[in-house]
Amino acid sequence: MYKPIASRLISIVPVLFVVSIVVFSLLYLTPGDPAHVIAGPNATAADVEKIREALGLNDSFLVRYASWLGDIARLDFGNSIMNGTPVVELIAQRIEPTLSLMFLTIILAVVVAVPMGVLAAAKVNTIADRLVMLFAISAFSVPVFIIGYVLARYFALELRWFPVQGYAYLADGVLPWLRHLVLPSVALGLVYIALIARITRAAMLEVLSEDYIRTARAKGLRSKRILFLHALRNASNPIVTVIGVGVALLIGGAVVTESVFGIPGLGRLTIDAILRRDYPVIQGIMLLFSFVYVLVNLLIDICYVVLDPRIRY
Amino acid sequence: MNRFIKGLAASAVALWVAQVGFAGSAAAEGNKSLTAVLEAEIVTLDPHFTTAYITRTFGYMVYDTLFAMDGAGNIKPQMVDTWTVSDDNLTWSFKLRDGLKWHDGAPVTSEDVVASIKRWWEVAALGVQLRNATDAITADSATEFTIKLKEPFGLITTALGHPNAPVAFMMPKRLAETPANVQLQEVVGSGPFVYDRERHRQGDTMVLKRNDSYVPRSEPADFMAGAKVVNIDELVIKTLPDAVTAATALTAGEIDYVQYPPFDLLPVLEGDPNIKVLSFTGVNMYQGYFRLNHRLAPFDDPEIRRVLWSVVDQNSVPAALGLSGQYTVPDCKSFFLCGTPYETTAGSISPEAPSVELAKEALAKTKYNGEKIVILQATDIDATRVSSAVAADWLRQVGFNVELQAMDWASVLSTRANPEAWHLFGVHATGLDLSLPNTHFYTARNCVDYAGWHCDEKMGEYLAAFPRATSEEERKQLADRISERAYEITPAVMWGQIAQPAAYRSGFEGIIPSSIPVFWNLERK
Repeated sequence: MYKPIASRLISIVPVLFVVSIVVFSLLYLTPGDPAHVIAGPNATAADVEKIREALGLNDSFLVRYASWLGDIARLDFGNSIMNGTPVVELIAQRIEPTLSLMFLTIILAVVVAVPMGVLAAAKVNTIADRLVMLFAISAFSVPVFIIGYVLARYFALELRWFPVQGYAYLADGVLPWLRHLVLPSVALGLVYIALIARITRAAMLEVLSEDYIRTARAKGLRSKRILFLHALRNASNPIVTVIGVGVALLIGGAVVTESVFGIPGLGRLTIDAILRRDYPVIQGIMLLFSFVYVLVNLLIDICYVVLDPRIRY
Repeated sequence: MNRFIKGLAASAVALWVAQVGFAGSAAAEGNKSLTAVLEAEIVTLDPHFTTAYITRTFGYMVYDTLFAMDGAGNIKPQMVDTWTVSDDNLTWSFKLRDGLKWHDGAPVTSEDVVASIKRWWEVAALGVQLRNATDAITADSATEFTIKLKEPFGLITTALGHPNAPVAFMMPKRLAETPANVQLQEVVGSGPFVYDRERHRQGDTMVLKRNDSYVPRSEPADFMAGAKVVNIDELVIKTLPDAVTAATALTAGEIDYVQYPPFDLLPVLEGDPNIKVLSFTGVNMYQGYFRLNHRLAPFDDPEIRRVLWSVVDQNSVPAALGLSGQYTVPDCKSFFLCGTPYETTAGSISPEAPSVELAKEALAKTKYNGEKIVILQATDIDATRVSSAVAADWLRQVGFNVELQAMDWASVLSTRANPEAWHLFGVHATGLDLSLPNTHFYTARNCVDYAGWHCDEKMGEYLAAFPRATSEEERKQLADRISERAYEITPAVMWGQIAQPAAYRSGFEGIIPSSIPVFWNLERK
């Protein structure tokens, strides 16, 4: 088991290398120039040129890429073009809100979606099943920013249960932290709940038609025990897969959710950096996201082994 | 056991609701702080390094100026105490006020001031004009300095006190000696607020503390001039990129001030008794323009450029933006905005009632031959997105062959630098920049390497004469001549004069009605 894990960890290096080439090339080809953004709309061509020169933006693609890669090899991710802040510091400032949001969203989604999917499968073709499917389709169809605004309107503005916007750092207390994350997690989590509920239902239906389930029923086992102990465990591989794949969905959704709820996380940092053409920041975030994604896939593979001992690598 | 667990859960929920029930009242209960959401995040903290408005706003809070503009557009002394002018108008001697200190505790000296001016005049439009007219600038004593001119420059105090970005903010010599194209990493000003680096969380909050060492002037606060007395302990500037969220947070009482609430939510905010909407007039308003590229056919032909005057109805774009009439000046034909010192309609060829039919007639008399008109549309800024879309619709109706290219603002900035890539884009700027003929982005950029690239000999003569004029009457006459030439060569066409109202919690008094949001003078009731 340890050998494949080590091998997967080592494979992160070439993956990140390829990602770095793709990201750097895309940024190079994208129209827009940080020197124009920094100088402001009223600067003359000469003002912009001075800034370009000072930032080294007139160097060729290869020179810039080689220089950046050299820095990365020394674990120096560079500084923001906009204000000189180290990229690592910027990411460090923003990582807690995003990780918190994703963590709570995943917990919420798993806690809600898996029982929903199990229920739908157990009561297939009944009102309960139809309701679960209706919810899943609706949650898939409504954009996260609409859900966000509606939640903020009623639960923050009308009922005053939660704040409209912002993020409270964990260091300032668990309750404020949680209070600021409830609405964003629900907004972001609905589509995730829908996805997991549907996959759970489908996987459970397949397992529930197996002979050993019929045998368990014939032996007189309680329905809950059959569903959650025998069926769910055997249906768990596709569910775990979709939870993992959904992390990418969460990263994308976090960009919108963080904007709607004013959460200073990595999603907003990404958008801001793209709009400002802050290349070192964009590159740093993309490498981080790629790293996280590879890591999540590795965790999924490990989960397969834990959940299904028949699987070997 | 079951009952116990249920009771425990119910208690937890009740406690939760009780605790979260007052969520959002933090800003309202804060005793001496104010939470504001400004137009954008303050990213660049060096006020000489960029023309970005948000950095200018930051500059006015943290730095100070030698002179400053009052609400009537007059330039008043700010850090300067007294000054004298020689009989030949060539030697200007200034004395600083006593007791001025930098935020690090060091006294403000004339050497700091001289170094700051030298850094600023490398980058500012008015600064470059002053530099070109200057023979020497010297520090005479700890608090006195002199500017010796090669030729009369009637706008010397205007240049040093005008809010046109980048503003002539003062900073310590050790920082001011940094080249203007190298961004300062340290923030040390002498203004009424002190930047708190430790509490700055980028993308989230910036905190500016009251400068207890600040020595305000004795005159009452008046726009950027007068006493800058800070009555709050700290200003918390929150970054909220979503304007709807900012307006909702204002309604909920989580924040106190929003610089740019969305236009379509203004009626809702106006109807809220806890919120006041602050509108602006004169130089504090914005004027929208369609900037035209003089280097690319068919807009290299002035006849074809002038067709636009016949179709651009100044009510349309503000209406498309969702602005009601109270926030606009209908049909302002002045390049320098209406309600400003240099307002003039001299040379106007904009008809009383512009229409597609009039423009079709005008276009038929030109040599237009169906060439493609590329319109750049920045989709991430409402005014530019909407104005460019309206322009595309008008031009298509008139008979132009139009291609509307949607992109973000950063792409517009770089695309417009290429003279072969575009013909027109919608944009808007404040009267603080546009109300003076020689800081106006379009009239003043005559023969300058600036997107649009218009160049007119006569315009150049008038612009050169403007700062040399010795009386206000003479300057107004020159503004008329500049306006006439501007209509003739049409560097840009106005699409409307609008206010971008701010909104704040009604518990505050003394807010200065300024399109540059400043937070001195105000106090919580």
